[in-house]
Amino acid sequence: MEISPDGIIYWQSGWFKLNATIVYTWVVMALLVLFSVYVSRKLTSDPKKITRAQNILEIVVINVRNQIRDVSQQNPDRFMAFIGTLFIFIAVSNLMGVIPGFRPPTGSLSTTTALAISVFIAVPFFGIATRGFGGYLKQYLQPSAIMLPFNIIGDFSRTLALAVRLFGNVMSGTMLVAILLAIIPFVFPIIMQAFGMLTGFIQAYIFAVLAMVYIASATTIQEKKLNQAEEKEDED
Amino acid sequence: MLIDWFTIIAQIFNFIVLVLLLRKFLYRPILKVMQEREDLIRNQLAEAEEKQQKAQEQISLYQKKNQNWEQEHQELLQEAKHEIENTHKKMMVKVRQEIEEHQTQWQQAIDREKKEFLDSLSKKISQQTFIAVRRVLNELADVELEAHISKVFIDRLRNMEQNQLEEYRAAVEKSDEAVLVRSAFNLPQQTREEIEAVAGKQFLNSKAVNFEVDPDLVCGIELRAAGYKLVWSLSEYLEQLEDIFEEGLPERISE
Repeated sequence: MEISPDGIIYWQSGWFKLNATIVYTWVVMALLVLFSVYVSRKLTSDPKKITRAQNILEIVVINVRNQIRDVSQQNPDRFMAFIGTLFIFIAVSNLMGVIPGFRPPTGSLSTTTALAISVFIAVPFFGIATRGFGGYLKQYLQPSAIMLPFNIIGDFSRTLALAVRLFGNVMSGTMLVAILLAIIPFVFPIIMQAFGMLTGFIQAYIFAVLAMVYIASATTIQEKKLNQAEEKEDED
Repeated sequence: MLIDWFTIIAQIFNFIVLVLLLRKFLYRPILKVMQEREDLIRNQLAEAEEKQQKAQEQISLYQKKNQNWEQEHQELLQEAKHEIENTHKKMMVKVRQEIEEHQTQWQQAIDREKKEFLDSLSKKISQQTFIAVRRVLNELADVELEAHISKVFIDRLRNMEQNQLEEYRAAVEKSDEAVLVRSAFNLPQQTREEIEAVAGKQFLNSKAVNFEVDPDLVCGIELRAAGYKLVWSLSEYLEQLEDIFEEGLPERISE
């Protein structure tokens, strides 16, 4: 039994290898994109003609949007694609773990690391886009220059935590079911799998919300300062 | 080794591709449609609000109209009531007047009939009374009474007043008619001569005197000459009495 689906290699040519992680990621991607394309072809703004699929997607989008707004206290549309995709991809991958034979790509430390690195890149990306390069770098000197190394360590450690948390949870869930199948093959694994669905969903939520919190912390300070500056201008 | 760097890079790439694909096929279309729907609903709400406002205006307009109508209705009703009352009063007055008129006419008719009845009654009574009296007197009359009557008549003839005498004389002279003496009983020759003598002396001069008997005179003697008449008879008294009776009796009876 492989701990990570990375180990299951279907095809390899030199440094290029097609492992289970990549294949199942493609499967999830294909499902999401195809479903989106299928639904978006029939989208309607008429409340009386909305299809069930559109309704489901709207509920997902609205809730993600509201969560982003609640966490960031900013206009959610800017972060919608990134945070929403994080959540949907992780959630769908984890939920599909219920299907026998399917290895959730989030159970691979490579995938979770890749997602954590994406967040690690996205934080300065949105931060610099919002407050400029200097403004973004200044936050590492907050509240004082002494904090610079700790801030940098914090950035790395939280990225590592993101990756390992998700990997640990999903991998352990999959492992637990596999082990239980060997010990008590009937009924009990189903309960654990259902439990795994819940934890998988919660992990998706935690990952997305944490990503949003990191991005928000890199963007809101600037806006606060801007607000203060505007207030000063108003007073003048 | 749990971390495979190739897989990490591939997954980062995959993730970026997924973000771009979902942005194109999921978030943008759905957000767009939601925005459209929101606008649509907002417009519809605004429209509905506008319509509701209009409806409210219409309601208040109709309420006002209704109120006015109700007021007019009440006014008309009041007017009609007044008119009916007035007409009723007028008609009642008219009816009363008519009734009074009828009553008056009826009363008059009754009075008239009563009067006529009383008149005829009194007439009959007096007639009957006098018929009875006449009969009694006629039956009571005898020679002595006749002589007495004759005497009274002659005395009256003798004691006529001067101006009356002159009127008689003038009338008799102008007239060609004979002087007529009527009596209820047959006058004896002596009395006739006496009457002729006294009358001749008084106003007749040499004119002839005719004598007639008329029981209707009731114990009386009458002298007619040139339209003048000198009478003494119970009939005269009775007639006077009859007049008094006829005048007085109906009043007494109606009282």
